[in-house]
Amino acid sequence: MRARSTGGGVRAGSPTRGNLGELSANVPPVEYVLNGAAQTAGAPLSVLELLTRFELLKRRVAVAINAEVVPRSRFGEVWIRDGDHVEVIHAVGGGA
Amino acid sequence: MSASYRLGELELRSRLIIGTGKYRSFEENRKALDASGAEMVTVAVRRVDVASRERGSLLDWIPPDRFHILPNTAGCTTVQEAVTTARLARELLDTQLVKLEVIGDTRTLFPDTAATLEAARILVADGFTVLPYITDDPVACMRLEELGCAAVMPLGAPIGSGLGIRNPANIRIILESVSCPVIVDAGVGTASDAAIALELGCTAVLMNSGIAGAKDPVKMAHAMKLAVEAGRAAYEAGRMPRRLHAQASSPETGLVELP
Repeated sequence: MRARSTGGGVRAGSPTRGNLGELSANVPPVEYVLNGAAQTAGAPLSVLELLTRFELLKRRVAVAINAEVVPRSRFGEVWIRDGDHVEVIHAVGGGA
Repeated sequence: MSASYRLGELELRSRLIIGTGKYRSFEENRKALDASGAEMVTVAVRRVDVASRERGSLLDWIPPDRFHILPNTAGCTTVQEAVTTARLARELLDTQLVKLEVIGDTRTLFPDTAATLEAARILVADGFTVLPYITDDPVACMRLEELGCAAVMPLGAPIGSGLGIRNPANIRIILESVSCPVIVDAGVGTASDAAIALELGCTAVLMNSGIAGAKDPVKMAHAMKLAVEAGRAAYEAGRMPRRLHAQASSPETGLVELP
């Protein structure tokens, strides 16, 4: 289990960390798990981009990455990294 | 009409809280909700099926601006699952409320008491209004109240069993042991079960299968509304003492005497 940043530093902003030169060259694919199923993206993607890709943007959903809730207000600035486990949930019928 | 009661910050009048599972359709669920008079409904949170193009949503039928939505952690079996689910639900529904369930055994669906206490401690510290599902164990209920839960929710019988309140004596002891609201959660099968919970002095009753599992859920929802109102009124009225022997209610003198 990887440690995750809390309170916004590392995840916010650009997906590149450090070496900008590598971004324009070959960006390795991002392999992540979405609701238990393996997914691959050609380039790093934000939570907002993920929800757009799966046509979930207009639905009422909540997102956690590696068991940490991503506030809606930060969907555009939190990036999914290689190896992340992403959960996208919604409300369903149930009592107990 | 009986007085309102509080759950955390909320003030409620209806003493019936209903679930949203097992209905044939969202529409039937909504009709039952309207017939029940409930102001609060509990919902589960689950993964979105990203492959599905089905876009209908429970919340289109039960809008959060008209009803208090009580997310639950149904199905969670560990502290971490329950805590993460509660936090996701808070973000999803903009509510501090959570019906905390940490299931200890998937066959009986009895709660894991130790894990429930630990999850309650974490969630109360995180600002949640915690309503924990628990066995009808007075000591567990006392501990949950001490941790700062807004109510305790002992089961009347196993979830989905419809067996009614199997141990009313324990519910009475719980009512004597805590000062927070006591809400019977699980086991109600028909209207008289709900009435008994309220007659015992419980603040409210939470049910799902008792309504959704009826042949006519909308009619049963109405029956449950009447039952909780009758049960609460009977509790407030104070029942007559039980006697072993008959006591006539008509005058015993002045009877007609035949020649």
